[in-house]
Amino acid sequence: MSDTEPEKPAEDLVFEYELDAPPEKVWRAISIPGFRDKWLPKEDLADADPVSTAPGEEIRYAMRDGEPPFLESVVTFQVRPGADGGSVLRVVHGLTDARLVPRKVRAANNNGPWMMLAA
Amino acid sequence: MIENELFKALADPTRRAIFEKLASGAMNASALRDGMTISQPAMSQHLAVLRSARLVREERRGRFVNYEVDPEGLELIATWLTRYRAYWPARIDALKILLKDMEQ
Repeated sequence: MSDTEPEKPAEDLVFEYELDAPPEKVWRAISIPGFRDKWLPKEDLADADPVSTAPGEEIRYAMRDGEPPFLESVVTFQVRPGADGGSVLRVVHGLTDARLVPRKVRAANNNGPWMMLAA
Repeated sequence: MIENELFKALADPTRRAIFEKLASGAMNASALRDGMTISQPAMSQHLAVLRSARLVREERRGRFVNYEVDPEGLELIATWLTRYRAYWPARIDALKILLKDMEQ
């Protein structure tokens, strides 16, 4: 088993885990609330419903930060088949807080609010 | 706590707009006021709040003062990253235990 952080963009946490269970089973564990609550406490989620779902492949949840200034973030879980019938679970956790967005938007596009203000 | 101050500083929409403008590059107070309906004293006051929250810092060049985003305010993000860098491995350990307990 190797738990690695293969890449690390400035403000996203990225982890990849090899799991012994098949993808279908991992999918149930991350998407069915009854299972999910057992390893990912529901008080850590801003909303029990996912932000988006691609069944069997990817699910995204808004996270609730437990400490001030309660930064908003979204975690993405991606499941794919791994070696020997196992799975690879990729966890990407990024800040989405509007208070921090300028720094991310600056690199990603030019549609930031300051452009509108300057016009 | 710097975090609480930061939260208060950015809770105000005008200050948030000022901060977002500065995120695109350093500028002086009058350039900042361009396109905003805000008086010069009000701008100074907002900048003072942003500075005390360490979101913005000033850079003096002779008679001119430029304002820019304070990179040290970014410590906040670093704190967040540190917390969740430890959080996820612990959660995944719990997931592995659950997977063992689940039926195929």
